Amino acid sequence: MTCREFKHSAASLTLWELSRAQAQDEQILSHAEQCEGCGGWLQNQRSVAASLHTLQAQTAAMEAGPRVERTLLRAFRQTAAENAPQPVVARVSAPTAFRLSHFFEIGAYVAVAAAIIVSVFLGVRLLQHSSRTVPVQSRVTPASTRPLMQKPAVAAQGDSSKVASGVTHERVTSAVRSRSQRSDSAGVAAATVQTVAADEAQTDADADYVALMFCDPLSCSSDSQVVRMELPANGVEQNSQPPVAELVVGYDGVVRAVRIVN
Amino acid sequence: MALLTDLTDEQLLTQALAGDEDAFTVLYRRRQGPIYRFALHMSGSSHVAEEVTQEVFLFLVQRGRDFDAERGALAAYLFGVARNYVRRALERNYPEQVLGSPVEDEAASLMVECDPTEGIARQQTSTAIWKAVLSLPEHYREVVVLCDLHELSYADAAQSLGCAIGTIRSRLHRAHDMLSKKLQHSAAVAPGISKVAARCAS
Repeated sequence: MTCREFKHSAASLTLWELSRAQAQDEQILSHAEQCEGCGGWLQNQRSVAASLHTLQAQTAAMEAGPRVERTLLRAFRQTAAENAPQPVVARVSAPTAFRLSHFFEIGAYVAVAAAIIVSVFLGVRLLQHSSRTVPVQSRVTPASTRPLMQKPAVAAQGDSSKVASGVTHERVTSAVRSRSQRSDSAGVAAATVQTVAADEAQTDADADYVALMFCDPLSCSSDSQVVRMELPANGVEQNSQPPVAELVVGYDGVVRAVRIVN
Repeated sequence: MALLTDLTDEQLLTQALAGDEDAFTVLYRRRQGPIYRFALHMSGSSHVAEEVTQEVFLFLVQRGRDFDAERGALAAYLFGVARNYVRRALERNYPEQVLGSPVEDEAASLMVECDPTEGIARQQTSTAIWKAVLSLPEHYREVVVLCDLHELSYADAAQSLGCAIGTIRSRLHRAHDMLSKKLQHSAAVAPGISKVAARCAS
């Protein structure tokens, strides 16, 4: 064993192992006997180990005094009490929490009551509004499907001058506008437009009208007009009267319903 | 209490943190001695040692949940906490007590004298060893106290000091050389030291 190997081997041992190294490491001991420097170093290490052993033995029984334990136990109890739930604090804070919950409970009831009142009010208003704005299918029909006793002088095909407004209907109260138009291509000779009062009760001809579109109260709330028109007489005998149809036309120009008069 | 003494340090700590005072008492009585002696060896002052012991276990009560058993033993963890409190105490209040006055009172009270001359020599030896250890630089003194006086393994000492095992080994080697020189110097001044040391070694 060289001195380097001796130092390397000795460094791997603790001080106590080195001081007790007698039989367990013969190589270290034999080298220490042969080498004066390494032997001196080993002796010094043993001396240090012996000194530290003395110090260790002297202080082995030393402990902290009972005062430290009492202080720590007091601190431990205090910490445990702080971490534990405190009923006193709960009693103090309970009325506040109760008052707050009671306040929020009353507020919730008030909010629900207000919501109900508003809902009822809005529902009533909506019903009133919908009663004023009856859909065309049910509202216009009485006004427009009343039997127009008018027998318009329908111009014959190709004759645009024979437009007459032979209105004989006794219930036409508003101004009657008659306008005849001639449509060469379609063969529609003339049309009579009349505005009919909405308050006229006509129920007998309601069933004759056929609704052509769906009307909701918002889009069909305005008055409508009944337009009577003669249909082309193609295929019909010349002597007989041409078929007449009545169209319920809204102010937006869209036909709401139609019926064949004769 | 009899069952508590069979529990490990980590189990006792868990129960103590749950509010079990008996578990804390058992843990304290099991570990306060080494912590106290570590602080005593590091500072040379029984007052500092008591204060550090108290601070360490107070820390355990208040911040014991920070301990992670997977990172090492509780004993090594406590030594690490104690080391920090010793450093703080030495920097704050007690620098004069460290270098000049080792604990003659406690050491002398424990000595059993069989021979008056040997008692004097032993007293001189004790004082010289104390002074030699306390005069070491702090990072050398730590490894000597932990590995030689408290017989911690290198791994546990490395965990306590927060360094590598190789660092512990090299510091210890260097500290032994320094102690040897200091003790030789003391022996030259007071020859009785070497004789007592030799007897103790044998």
